[in-house]
Amino acid sequence: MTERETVIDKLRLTYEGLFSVQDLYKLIDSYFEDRNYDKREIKNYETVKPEGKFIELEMEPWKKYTDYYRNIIHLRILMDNIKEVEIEKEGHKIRVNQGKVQIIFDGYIETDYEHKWESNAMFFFLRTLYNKYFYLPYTMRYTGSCKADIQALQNQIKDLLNVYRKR
Amino acid sequence: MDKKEDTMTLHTSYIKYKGVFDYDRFFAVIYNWFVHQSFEVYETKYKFKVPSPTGAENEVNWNTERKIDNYFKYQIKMQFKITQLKDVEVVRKDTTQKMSSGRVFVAITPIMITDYSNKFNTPFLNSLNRFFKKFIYKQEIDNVYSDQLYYRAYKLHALIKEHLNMETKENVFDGRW
Repeated sequence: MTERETVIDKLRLTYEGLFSVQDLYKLIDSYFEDRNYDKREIKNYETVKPEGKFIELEMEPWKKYTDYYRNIIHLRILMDNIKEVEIEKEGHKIRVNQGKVQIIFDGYIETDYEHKWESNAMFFFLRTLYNKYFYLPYTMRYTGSCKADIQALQNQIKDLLNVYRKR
Repeated sequence: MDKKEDTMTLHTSYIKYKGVFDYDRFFAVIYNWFVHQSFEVYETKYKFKVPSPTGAENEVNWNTERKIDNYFKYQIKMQFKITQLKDVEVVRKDTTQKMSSGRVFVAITPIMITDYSNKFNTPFLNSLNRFFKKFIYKQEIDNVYSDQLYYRAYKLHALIKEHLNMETKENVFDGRW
């Protein structure tokens, strides 16, 4: 079985107010595309209710560092009471969305994702030994990289939402 | 029949939508995409439930295939479930359009099949095939063939979202494959 180490667990970002769902989704997708992550969209649920749209997104993009290490970022985005509103800025009318959004970030480092070191008990034992003692500097390096990626994404999302907050 | 070791199932993606959409063109748009991508479409299941007070129900399964060369074959399995289907009239830009309201569930499963014509059918050839896939051609299988299928399935995913006019219809990864 692949070893999965949790780097970031349930980091939350909550916002309520004006924002654009399309811009937010595009920002997240572009972020992963720029950083050479592979796209994986597990769930994309959208329900139209009288009080507004409910959107649930679950994404799990991954990035292979080596044939042994892989970085996975798990995002769960919940948007509730999303309505389309028209605001005026500098004399121009802009259509944006209004509602609540909650984003939950999880980060993992997976080792031996190709299952090469699981074929027998001896390999499994050696893998555990290497992970704990010999490969620790590499694991720490990739763990730091995973954390940095999630922090950077969170900051970019905050910047985007702050732009709408000031409108 | 394809052997289990020769099939590689990639990640299944799901779309769930509840609202107003164009049901008449829904299947046509997806079918046209498959034809345009040179896939053969086989409908393996079609279930329609007579409309009740809650609406009609429709369940459709498609198996689509495309032979890349003598060794590789792409397969995309589609599963559609439409429930609470009712006809509605929508006023858009001063014109009345006939649309449908309901719940849509779509599951897209891309599968890559190697040696679909079963040429490596003896035990010796079978082990040769495994050696070839594991050591000689591994990079091409991972980075070219399965990637191509994987991102083509995401283009279909984006097409369905666009047809349903979902908020997250944008596909930034459109440029890949």
